[in-house]
Amino acid sequence: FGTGKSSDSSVPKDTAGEEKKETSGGETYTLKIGHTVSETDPTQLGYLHFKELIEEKSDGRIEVQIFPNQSIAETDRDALEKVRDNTLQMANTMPGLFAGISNMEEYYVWNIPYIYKSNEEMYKLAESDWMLELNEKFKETTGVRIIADASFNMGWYAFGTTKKDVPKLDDFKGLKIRINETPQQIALVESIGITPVFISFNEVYQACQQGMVDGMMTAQNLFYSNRYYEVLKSLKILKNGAAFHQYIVNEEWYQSLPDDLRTVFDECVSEMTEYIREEEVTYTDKAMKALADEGMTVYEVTEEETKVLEDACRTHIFPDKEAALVDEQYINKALEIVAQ
Amino acid sequence: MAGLVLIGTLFLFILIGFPIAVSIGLSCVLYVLAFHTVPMDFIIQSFLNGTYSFTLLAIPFFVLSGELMINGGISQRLINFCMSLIKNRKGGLGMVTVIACMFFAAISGSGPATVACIGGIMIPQMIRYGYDKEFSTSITAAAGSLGPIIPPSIMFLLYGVVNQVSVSKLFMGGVVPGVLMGIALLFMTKLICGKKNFTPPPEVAEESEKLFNVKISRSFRESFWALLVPVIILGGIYGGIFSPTEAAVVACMYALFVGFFIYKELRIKDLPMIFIRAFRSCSFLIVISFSVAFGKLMAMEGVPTAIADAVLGVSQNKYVVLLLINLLLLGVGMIMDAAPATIILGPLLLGIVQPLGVDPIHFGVIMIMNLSIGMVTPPVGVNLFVGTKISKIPMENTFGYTLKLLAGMIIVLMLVTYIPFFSMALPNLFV
Amino acid sequence: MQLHFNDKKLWNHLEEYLCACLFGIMLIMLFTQVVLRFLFHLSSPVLEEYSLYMFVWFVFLASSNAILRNEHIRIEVITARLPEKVQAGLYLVMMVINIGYSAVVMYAGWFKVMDQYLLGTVSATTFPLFIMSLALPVGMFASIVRSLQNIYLTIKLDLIKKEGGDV
Ligand code: NA
Ligand code: NA
Repeated sequence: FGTGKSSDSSVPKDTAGEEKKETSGGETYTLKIGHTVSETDPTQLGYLHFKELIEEKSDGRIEVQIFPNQSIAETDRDALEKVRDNTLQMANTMPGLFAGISNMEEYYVWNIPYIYKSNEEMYKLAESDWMLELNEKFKETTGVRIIADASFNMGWYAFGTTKKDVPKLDDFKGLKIRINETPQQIALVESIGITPVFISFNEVYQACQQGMVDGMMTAQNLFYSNRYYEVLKSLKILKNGAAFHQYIVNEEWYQSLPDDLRTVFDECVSEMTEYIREEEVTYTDKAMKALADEGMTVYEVTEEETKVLEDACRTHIFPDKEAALVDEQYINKALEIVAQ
Repeated sequence: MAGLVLIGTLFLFILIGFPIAVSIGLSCVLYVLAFHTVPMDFIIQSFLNGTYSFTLLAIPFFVLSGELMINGGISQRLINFCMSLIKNRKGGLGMVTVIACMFFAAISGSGPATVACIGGIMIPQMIRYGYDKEFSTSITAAAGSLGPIIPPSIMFLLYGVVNQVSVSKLFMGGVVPGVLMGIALLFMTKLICGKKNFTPPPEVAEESEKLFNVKISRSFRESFWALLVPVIILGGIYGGIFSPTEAAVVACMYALFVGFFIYKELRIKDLPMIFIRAFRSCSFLIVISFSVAFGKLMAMEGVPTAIADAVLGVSQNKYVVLLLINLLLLGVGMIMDAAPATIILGPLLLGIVQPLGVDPIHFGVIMIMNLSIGMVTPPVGVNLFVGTKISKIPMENTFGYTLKLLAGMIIVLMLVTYIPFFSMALPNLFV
Repeated sequence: MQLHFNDKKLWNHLEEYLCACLFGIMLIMLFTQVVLRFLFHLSSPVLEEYSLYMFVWFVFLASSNAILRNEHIRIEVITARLPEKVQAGLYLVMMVINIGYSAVVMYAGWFKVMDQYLLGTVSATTFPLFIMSLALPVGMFASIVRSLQNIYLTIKLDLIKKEGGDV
């Protein structure tokens, strides 16, 4: 069903998201930004930096309001939908989510484990001609502009468990781990003998504490910022994906800006990106040290283990459309791009 | 300005007798049509997101398990046992209700679920034995607010996550204040029942007398399967077998099993009506869904920030600010559901008090106690909604008793606010 | 308010029968999830998710059902003191406003559904989300119908004082 054709007819447009006020220097543009993480997270710091920059450079003609902590956008998915309907004009979200609202299966390559293995590879894929082309189509379909080169890594996926020592991949066999409900991750963890458990994010803490699950998978930084170290004992950074985020902006709002402000906006986004990429590195270091201080043992994935997991992906996910949700040709295309 | 309009229209509609669900939805829609600061799709998305909630899903099942336990003879036996414990005295059943709620709070994370489960059993029982409907409803609604204070607690989880505060410490912090509040409610029950002197109507007087006079050992034997319910829920959750929401589901299945095969009081042909009755009791769920949209609009209008500024404008003194925040939260609890209030106001208020030297754990306990009390305060008092659904009386009829009970609860709140020992002793000792 | 609708007509129990079935299915699905996980170390991502979609329908239909039965929570302290005819009049105004408001939400909700349908919006497990969102316009539509029923019956029985509710 659904051909992913133009959405212009399908969303009531009578309620514009921007509030325009006449001032001496021309119109003022309100830019509402929402994100799902706490106010101490680098994401917020980045936006605060951005707010300062853009309000100064635009002489106050762009006024920024930041809504952190799920106060407006409850999930990354929700953030995307709210930029689309212009409740928010800007947010950050994971590119894998673009597929779910556009019928463009190509974006699911972002959910395939081990497509990329470094920040540079992620940037390379995100800024590739292929993705730029897709983003253009996505913008026409949904009215959301993806800023391809404005991206950052909020942390690699890692497995935290209530066992003190889970150093090897084999030791995960038979454990019940809470994971995200994406078919790609389900296929991966099942292939290494983990029982995936699906419970809501708010319940994970209690589930770990009470032994309903043996652990959870999420971005490594969250084990620190959400205080999961209180109930978990070991962390294995498997890097089977990452909380890789791109900034998105409502196209209608973006086009409503006069040329000079649009330039200012672009510049400030670039500066914020540079800033947040550094902040994320610092924060991850701090988080991993803090986890160790709190008594968690932190293990990095070994090369042999990565090899095993990559092979598992090749056999269990790539050829299986039910698990990958994306045709194998696109996976290969993505692999080619990052290998260049 | 727009924020004032939003709150003003809500109160206007509620006061002229509009259903609260309609009032909230309507004020959101009018706001969007009038101010154009967010698209209508925002309302639609929030209504849907507010409903798509696993936590909320627990409520119909706790309502259903209550219905099943009543019809399957479980609740009756549970009451019998509690009666043999309490013995015949003034306000005995009311006290049984409070104790049962305290116990159930230790297995449920939510206030309304506690009211639904204990109230579903106790409210009809109290009415049967001569308590007036109003008191039965009020005491259950009030005791239900122990649900989020005594751990486990969804509210503490939310607070802990948005403020990056230790959840296990918060859980520990809730134990003593929860028990204190339970004791206060027991005391208030005794006080009120002493004055009112509820007595069983003549046709059940003898039955009531007999129930109270059963030996504990005998009533234990007779109610064994019923007493196993909390053990299964408690053991299931703490034994890591299921989540609190799933516990509600398991309680339903257990009640079905015992009702059909052990007590044999449940019949297949009763089932459709039991499910329908439980469904009818769930019409208030939409209020909670809608309040998510309402809370977000308030956040966008900067209502919480304006309130924070107003508070600090009055005083910078720690004790005065805490008092003001208590008053504010009691006010917020009147119109807002606890979950969105925790998410939206938690970081904001902690930001005010932490620099003044208030511990985040201590403040978390204060905040959750406040918002739990808010579940009993009209007009948006979810515990009252659930309670009045069971007793089938207009909500305003309960206000008289509710006010008295609230007085007791607020005294405990003040104690916990100004004596950090109550909330901090256990967390400091154990975690 | 007194209830006027004809309790014997199947039509007036549509939401109840539908939701009682949904209720039973949700119960079985969620219990299966517990059993699968505990006894067989198996887990399915869809059991809880699909239960939640049903729950969304359940909540919106519970609301329209409560409109018909006048079971929505209201504060009637002020209105209860008014004369009966005034109360009936106020009730009619309320129902009319409810219809207007429900129509707006239904309209916007329908756009949401069409939007999700045309774009092919799916959940993480690729469930088409318009099926869930449809609960909102349908629930609002049902509320409108139930409000119209109440208006008809109130005019006929409270204001004109004819006997017997026949809808
Ligand atoms: Na509790
Ligand atoms: Na309240």
